[in-house]
Amino acid sequence: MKQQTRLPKSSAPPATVAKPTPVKKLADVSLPGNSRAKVVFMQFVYLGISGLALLILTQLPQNKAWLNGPIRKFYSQKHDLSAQTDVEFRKQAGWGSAFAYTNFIRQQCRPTDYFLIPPQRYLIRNAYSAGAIDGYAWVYPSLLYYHLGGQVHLLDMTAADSLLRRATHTFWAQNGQLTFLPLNNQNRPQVVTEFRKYDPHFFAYTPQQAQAYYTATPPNTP
Amino acid sequence: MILTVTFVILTQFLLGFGVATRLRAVTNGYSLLGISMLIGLGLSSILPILLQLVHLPLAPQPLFAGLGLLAGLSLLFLRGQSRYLRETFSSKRLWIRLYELPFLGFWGYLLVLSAWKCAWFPNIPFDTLVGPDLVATFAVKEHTLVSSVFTQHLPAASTFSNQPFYAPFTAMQQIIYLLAGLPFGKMWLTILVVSFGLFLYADLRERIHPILAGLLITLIACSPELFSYTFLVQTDWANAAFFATGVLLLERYLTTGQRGQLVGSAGLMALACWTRTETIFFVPLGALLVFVQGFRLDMPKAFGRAILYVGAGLVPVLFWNYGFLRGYMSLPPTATLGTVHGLTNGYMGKLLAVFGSMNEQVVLKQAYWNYAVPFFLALTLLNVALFRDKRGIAVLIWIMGVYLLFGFIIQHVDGANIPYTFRRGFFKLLLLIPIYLSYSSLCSWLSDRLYSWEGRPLPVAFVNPQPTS
Repeated sequence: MKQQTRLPKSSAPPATVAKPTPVKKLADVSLPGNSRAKVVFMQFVYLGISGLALLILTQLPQNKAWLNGPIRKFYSQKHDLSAQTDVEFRKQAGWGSAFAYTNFIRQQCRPTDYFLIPPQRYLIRNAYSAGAIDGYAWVYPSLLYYHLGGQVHLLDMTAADSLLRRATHTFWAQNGQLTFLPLNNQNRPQVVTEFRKYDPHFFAYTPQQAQAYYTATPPNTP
Repeated sequence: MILTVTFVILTQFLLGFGVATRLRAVTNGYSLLGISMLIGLGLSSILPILLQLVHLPLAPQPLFAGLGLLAGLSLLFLRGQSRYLRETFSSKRLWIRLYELPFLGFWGYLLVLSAWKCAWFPNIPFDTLVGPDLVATFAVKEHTLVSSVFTQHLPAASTFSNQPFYAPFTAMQQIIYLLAGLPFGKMWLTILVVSFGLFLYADLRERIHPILAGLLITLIACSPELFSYTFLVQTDWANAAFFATGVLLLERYLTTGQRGQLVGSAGLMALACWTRTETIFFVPLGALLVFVQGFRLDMPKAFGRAILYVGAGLVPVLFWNYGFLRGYMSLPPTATLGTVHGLTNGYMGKLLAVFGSMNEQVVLKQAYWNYAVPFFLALTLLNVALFRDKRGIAVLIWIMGVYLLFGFIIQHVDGANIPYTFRRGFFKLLLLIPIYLSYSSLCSWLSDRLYSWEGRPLPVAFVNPQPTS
């Protein structure tokens, strides 16, 4: 096929490396002999062509499914939510259970309290259904710090015993549900002993990883 | 808040406008507006670090004063550029044709949604919350980059991500927009996406018929994964935008030999490295192209330019990872920022398995990119079969080179993986698809036909306004 384009070859050895291409004036005007009516007519013909091309492209099965699925859903979401301007409401909508749990901790604890982060495996093993939606990813230390930093001291199970003895609150699984447990000298040793059964370094970042751990190990395995 | 956000956007734009005008790397007004905002976003992200280094608090007043000062200094570059600006903003270059409106309308339909989701929701991605947004939120609260995140939380945490130590562009933009008063920051991402889209479309329609340019951009606009990250704050969209802009300017340089385009390309590659550190592994591809372009005429000069091209990318990587993180601050002792593996047993087998997984899990996964990859492969093959020429081959080298290097990165760097690193790293390749196709003989030939039927001649591509001095 004969080449008809006038573009310069980008990969050809340059004849003038140091010299810019000579200036050419932009010749973006109608060709002689074309009447204004014809130019205008062609603009509308091309409008039809571009509209048709766009329609074909957006009606290809995958594109159509995407536009009618997620994009339409997002527009419904926009319709439902855009009137809400309250920042706390928007945080709740965006962060879901992470916001609910961390907000609860914030309300219950004072800046001098120590919240003991339960091992994620403990929560998955003992209260999987209650956290299946997010796999308890919100107990990741940096995520808790993001939400709570400065409003309560955070401790995890790798802390020294002397620090663990300062823990004042934690989450405890009971009948498949989480309860917020104030810690005292009586119940703290039992809680720490139970938490110690679970690997503090394990982390499931996604609900799928949490589910994989939950289903792959026998029920009483930490 | 509206006033402060407007001030931030305006100063970021002016900061980039002065620099982009001085470089004269682009030839039409829309491209100049787009690239100005991109450069402004990139350069302004250095400001919070400058404030930190001169011991000023990270607070609105010092930040706004700094932005105003930088914008003012940048405007000094506009001296003597009036002829260039007049030509660049001439009506012939800015005229929008009627048939472009359907595409503009469709992109607007998607962008309105993206902008709303970006502004309305807080940051959601895990990596962002435990990385750039964690750093930014506490830097703003405590008025310092060396916040309690680095001094208290990370040294005591049993497990933590390497995201807080990652290339800082996203965190710095979050700081700027949080200080401007936005509850979640984030608006910079929408501005970046719109700026890049404007730049890319303007560049493409200068080279090929606007209908083809519109179709090529619509092809990638309909990539669900790419679209999602126009409102989910991460490092990858900005990285891909800086990278693709750098590739485009380098392609222009290879054609014209204009120094401003080479400097602009090197600068944008440096910004891409400032956004994602592993980009430095791809920069030598550009250096190689610079060397090959010039070595027959002047070997030492070509070699020097190639070295400077890589050097520009190395500056932000070395400054952040060694100057700032290890010099100015002290990393937690347990921090690991990516361990490199050497050769292992069964190396080639593992490498081939990596490429196989990359193709299966990312490249050919239609749910991520819809038709962008199949169209690219089909049109590239058609172009090769029909024309058998080298036009656009430099961009194709970038695409192939980045793909191959990703395989080696995943094989050798601990922490680099296919589902996350390559999936979002693929944005770079995706944005190069319309750029390559716009340079192909196939699109040029089709453009000729479309212009001919339309009754107007092909606009001359790469019209470079002459210096006015």
